[in-house]
Amino acid sequence: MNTAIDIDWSDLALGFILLVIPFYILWYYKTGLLKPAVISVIRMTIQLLLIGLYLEYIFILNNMWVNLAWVLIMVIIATVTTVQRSDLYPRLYLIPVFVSLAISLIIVDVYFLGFVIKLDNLFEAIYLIPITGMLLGNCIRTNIIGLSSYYNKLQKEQILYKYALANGATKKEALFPYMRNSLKTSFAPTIATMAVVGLISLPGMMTGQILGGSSPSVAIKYQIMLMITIFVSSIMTVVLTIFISNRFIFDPFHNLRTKIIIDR
Amino acid sequence: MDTKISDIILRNISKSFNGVKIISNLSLEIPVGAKVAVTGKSGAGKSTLVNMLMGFILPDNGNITLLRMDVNEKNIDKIRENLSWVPQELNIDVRYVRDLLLLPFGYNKNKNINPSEKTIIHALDMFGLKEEILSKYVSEISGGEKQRVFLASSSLLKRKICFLDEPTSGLDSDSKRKVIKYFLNECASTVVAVTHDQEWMDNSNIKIDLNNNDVEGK
Repeated sequence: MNTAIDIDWSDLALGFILLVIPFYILWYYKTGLLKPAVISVIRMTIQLLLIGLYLEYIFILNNMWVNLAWVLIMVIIATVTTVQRSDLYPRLYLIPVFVSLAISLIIVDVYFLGFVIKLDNLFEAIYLIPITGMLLGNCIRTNIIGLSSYYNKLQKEQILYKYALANGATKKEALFPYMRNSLKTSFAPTIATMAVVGLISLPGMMTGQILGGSSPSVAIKYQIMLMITIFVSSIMTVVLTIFISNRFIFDPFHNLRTKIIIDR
Repeated sequence: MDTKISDIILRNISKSFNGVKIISNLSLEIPVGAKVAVTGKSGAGKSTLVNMLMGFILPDNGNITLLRMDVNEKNIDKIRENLSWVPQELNIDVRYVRDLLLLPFGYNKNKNINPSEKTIIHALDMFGLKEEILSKYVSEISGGEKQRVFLASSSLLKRKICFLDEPTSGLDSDSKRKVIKYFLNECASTVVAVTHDQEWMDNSNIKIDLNNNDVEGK
């Protein structure tokens, strides 16, 4: 199979003309989103250009330490993004989110790359970096929904939590409905998406691999594994973050120490 | 008063929020089985006091003893196992009234209580509720009915100390009389209620008026 046709830089510029449509709609309806949309497109383009250049060198270099350092940077950025977008206080949540993301990624990456793909070198740049990136990108979305739902509900519905404690529940039992709600809110869309993959959506990785020259039968196997690993790593991250942060946000009387989420 | 038969002992309790003293040097002893009415105007510290007794707010000074145990980190779980609390308003995401009533019985510590159907129906009846309410959706029942379901649930727990927050607000006079009859005359527990209801206050043994830190006993 042939690899994908390269897009000439001038042709890529041509592709940008399509943006006139959303930009015009956002401007016409006075949404206030035109400026953020332009900034986002510029950021996206610059970031991807830089990453493209950078990854070319990283792939050629393929040094274990450089690859791990790159993964570490990705995890740090994912941690900061998750904490900011979930309206969580950085001093309370940066460490729990970072540790949870790191643990989930180590487990899922080692399992997928070591046991499923059976790579000789687990730190092979062309596998480790894109797959970790895909996992992180998807983890961020579910984590933001899961964590903000858990902490928002816990802060706003304190009476329910106290009712449980004052009527015989342990702290774990009193927190159970919040965890259940968080998992339902964040994972219902993921589960629904999995059910229709291939029917009404062709996922990005699979499309990319086919364009890159892989046969569809290889591409779907990677896609299946990717859906599974995203599901596993994101659910582990949400649950682990909540477990770890629960150790810091309560006093010995099981009361919330402080405000746990930033009011908007 | 003999401390051996006191369920609740407060010694020199003070609490301030943002520099404003809400409760100042309050001391009192509540005997086993006493019925206590906590009253006072808005912001006088009624909820603060009850929350301090349950360990949800910690006093700045003084100490609290419940059931002969100091309210501290070590004892708090043991103490709470012997309490029940009915807040004034509570929304719980369950579908049926039966689930609402039996919610506390799903907790491990309460599983041994396991009230029989007969006991449940009897408890509902004490508060003027019919058996059929159990199969209704929570969204179908009125605020007053929901309040009585929570009170019935608390009665089924048969705890040593019950905390009630405005237990008769929003109830018609007949239902109110039934609630007063059970909690102030029939039940053996020590009952501490935040209330503005004159009838409730008249039927209580101890009245704590937080407007002027005044404790009045009968």
